[in-house]
Amino acid sequence: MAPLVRVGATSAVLSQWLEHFASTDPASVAVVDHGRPVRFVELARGVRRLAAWLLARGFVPGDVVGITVRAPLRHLLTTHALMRIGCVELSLPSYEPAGARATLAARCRASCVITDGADDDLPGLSRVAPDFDAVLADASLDAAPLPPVSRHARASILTSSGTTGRPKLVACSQYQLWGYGQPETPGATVSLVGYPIESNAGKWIGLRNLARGWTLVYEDLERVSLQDVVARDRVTRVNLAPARVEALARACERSGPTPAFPGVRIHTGGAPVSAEVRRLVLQAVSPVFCLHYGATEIGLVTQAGPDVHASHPDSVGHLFPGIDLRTVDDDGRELPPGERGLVQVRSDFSATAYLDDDEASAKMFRDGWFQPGDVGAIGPGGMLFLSGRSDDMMIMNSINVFPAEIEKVATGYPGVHECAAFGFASSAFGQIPALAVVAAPGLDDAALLAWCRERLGLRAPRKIVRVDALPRNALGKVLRREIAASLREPRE
Amino acid sequence: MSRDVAAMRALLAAGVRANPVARVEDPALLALLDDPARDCAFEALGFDSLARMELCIWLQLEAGIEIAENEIAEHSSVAALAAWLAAREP
Repeated sequence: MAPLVRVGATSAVLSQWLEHFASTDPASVAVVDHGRPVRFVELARGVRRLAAWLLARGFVPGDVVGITVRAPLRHLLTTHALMRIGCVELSLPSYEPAGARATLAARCRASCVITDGADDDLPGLSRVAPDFDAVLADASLDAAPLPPVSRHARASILTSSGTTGRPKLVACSQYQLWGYGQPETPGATVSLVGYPIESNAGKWIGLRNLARGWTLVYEDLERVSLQDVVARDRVTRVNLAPARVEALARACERSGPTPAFPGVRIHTGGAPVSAEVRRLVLQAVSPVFCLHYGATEIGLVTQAGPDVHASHPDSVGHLFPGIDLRTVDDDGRELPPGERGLVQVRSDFSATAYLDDDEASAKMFRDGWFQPGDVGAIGPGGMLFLSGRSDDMMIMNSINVFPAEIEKVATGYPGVHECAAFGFASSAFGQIPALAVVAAPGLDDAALLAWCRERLGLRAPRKIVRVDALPRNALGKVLRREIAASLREPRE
Repeated sequence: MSRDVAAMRALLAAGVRANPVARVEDPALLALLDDPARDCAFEALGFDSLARMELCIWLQLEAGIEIAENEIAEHSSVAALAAWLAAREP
């Protein structure tokens, strides 16, 4: 196994990076906020002033502080300012219902919530609503001393999006946030992150990109088209959820035969992307399309770029430096490369436990490794091949069946637009594989079943269920349990 | 009240036709299978244990009938299994 490479030796507190870029290149732009450039000099000053203002309001290091701030630049400033004084920032996203925000705040023992809206009060939580314009313009705050902060102190609580149940809480330091995204393309990068800053992905990708001296573009993509933003702000890199990348590719495909964004790197992650969609994105959107595998608990683990899409379109690609990966059997014994098992990863930047969930911590953090619950194998050249989620895996008569293998086969059948495999519970067999299909008119179920049987044998689905659309979560992950639950009773 | 034996026999015939392991293509056998007045041996249909398992799965998914493979094996023909199932099923 490769030795652990330590990548973070030069990292610092995140706001120090803002100061660093402000001093090395005073003209460099940190954020393009809805078309308006904000230089690193201004951003760093804004963070200092807001931090001083928060200190004066009595915030002390270690306080957990909720943030319900919609405007991305203000949210970014608030996050940085809280970290700068040693507080622990926590997104309480405005798009979540108040009840969910209150539960999250209570679980994290948040003391108050910083908001930019009048109706963001949560019961039992004090509310602080800074006059951002006034604070940022207040030069008298520049004289206030700010306390030293350790990059290893708890700085943020992220939520790990499960497909069911309550989110798990991941506490991380500024050091971990810095290392989350791994070393990246050098050179000037103008980055558009297509996730709201109130979400995990939007937050850490943004913080990571800024700490590398890149320019962040904030724009409302409901209001301004991606084409217009890319052209106006000279965007060179776009992060989008897989479902949005696919939608973009289908739209681009209709409008012309060549890539619509030839100079833009497209990055996605969080859900599998099929070989067909990879081909389509490369051909219709951009020749530089990267798929990531990672987890909130450890950051990015692998990347598949155009070379991987060409040679192994079913792989999530190569490990980033500094990441160790192995597969183990159900008893935690390490498997030789090539053998399929539970994926375990470790890195310097990994969380080591969840905040208030000992059961999940014991299940997913084992002997210094994080076990995300994915099943896969390490293939040629160290590439990772994922079979699916261990908790999505069906066991029929002691045969392990992964939804992904069924879906890969069924997607190749003409007329299958989209599909998701799931298990029918059976006391005799455990789970019987079945397939929910969004199909073109005229699809012959029996012929599709036979096609799958020919290619999958005993692991083939035994029943086709037609649906209008697959239920998905916000990241585009298919909610298999919802399909199974809606069809729990076999037809009489 | 028992399920009708004839209805059960028709259901089993549909299950045999859909079986992905024992694929019955012989027209004479198919005619035999579809004729409620006649019987058809599982052996003649080429049923092995794998085919019986698939029939169990089919019966559960399509009719909500749970039956074990060995219970099918105890009956040599479609009509015999239909009679047994019709008597057993509520």
